[in-house]
Amino acid sequence: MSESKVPSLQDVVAGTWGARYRIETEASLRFGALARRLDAFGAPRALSELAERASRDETRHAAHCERFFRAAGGQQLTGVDHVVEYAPASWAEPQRLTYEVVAQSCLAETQSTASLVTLLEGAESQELKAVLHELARDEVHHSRLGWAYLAWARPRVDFSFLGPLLPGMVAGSAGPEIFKPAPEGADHPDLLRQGVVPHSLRRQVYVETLESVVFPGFESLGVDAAAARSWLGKTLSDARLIPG
Amino acid sequence: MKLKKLFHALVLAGTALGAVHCGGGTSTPPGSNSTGGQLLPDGGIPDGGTGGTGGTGGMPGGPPGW
Repeated sequence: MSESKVPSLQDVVAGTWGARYRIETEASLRFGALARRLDAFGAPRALSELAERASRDETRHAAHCERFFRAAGGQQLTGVDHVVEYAPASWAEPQRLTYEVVAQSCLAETQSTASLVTLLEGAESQELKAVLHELARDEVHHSRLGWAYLAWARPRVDFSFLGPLLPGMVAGSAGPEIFKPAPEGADHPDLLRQGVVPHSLRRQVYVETLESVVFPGFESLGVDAAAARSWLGKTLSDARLIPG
Repeated sequence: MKLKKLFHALVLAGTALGAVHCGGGTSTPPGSNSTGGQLLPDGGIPDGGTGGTGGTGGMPGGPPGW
């Protein structure tokens, strides 16, 4: 019998929970740093408290991810133990902080909430449903932090620097694989029952969330999303996901 | 998925929260550097890309979500 290199469903499930463990450990560090930074910037205590809470939440989420990773047969798990900011150090503090909050909360956490809502509909076990529900409830607050920050910062920070940078932020957050054909085994419909959004559905959810939540959110708060909209259209066209 | 509900639950609710505090805080004038240092703990070697630990200092990216 020849040895197949096609990953099993369990491989894909374990790999996904392992990647989420990294995402959650990274997010915990980022929110912890943002809490201190928001305080230093003079943001309302309610916002830094949201960030502090988010940091603690993400540590708890990471433990859930580890449990599902092990249950799926995962062996080697690596977390993130240090992070650096995405915004260049040469920027002034208001721009750097704004970039980091927007990237983490308005974009990554909003997308995570959308994924979790999608997963809630397909989860098989009660344990998985309970965990997804807990995570979704928390991620809502993590996302709101970003939109609340923009509303508070709008009269204080000039957001005009942000619009041209949104394509890079979105592309970095989405990752290069999302607009490519599904890797072997990553589009299996049974994945949804085990807490994994199949590749094509994940892309669909990602794009729809950008178009219906993230971009309108930016525009409602004075952040120009035109460059990001153009980037998305071109990316989808290049990937032949919409007619060119 | 009910994206309209998501927009309300995240964007509008967040915006309302921020607006409540609009007069609050002790804002730092744009252009100042209130922390005077690296944002995030320990620094580290930026590796960029997705799921990485930070930017490259060139074209900024963003952290991954689920």
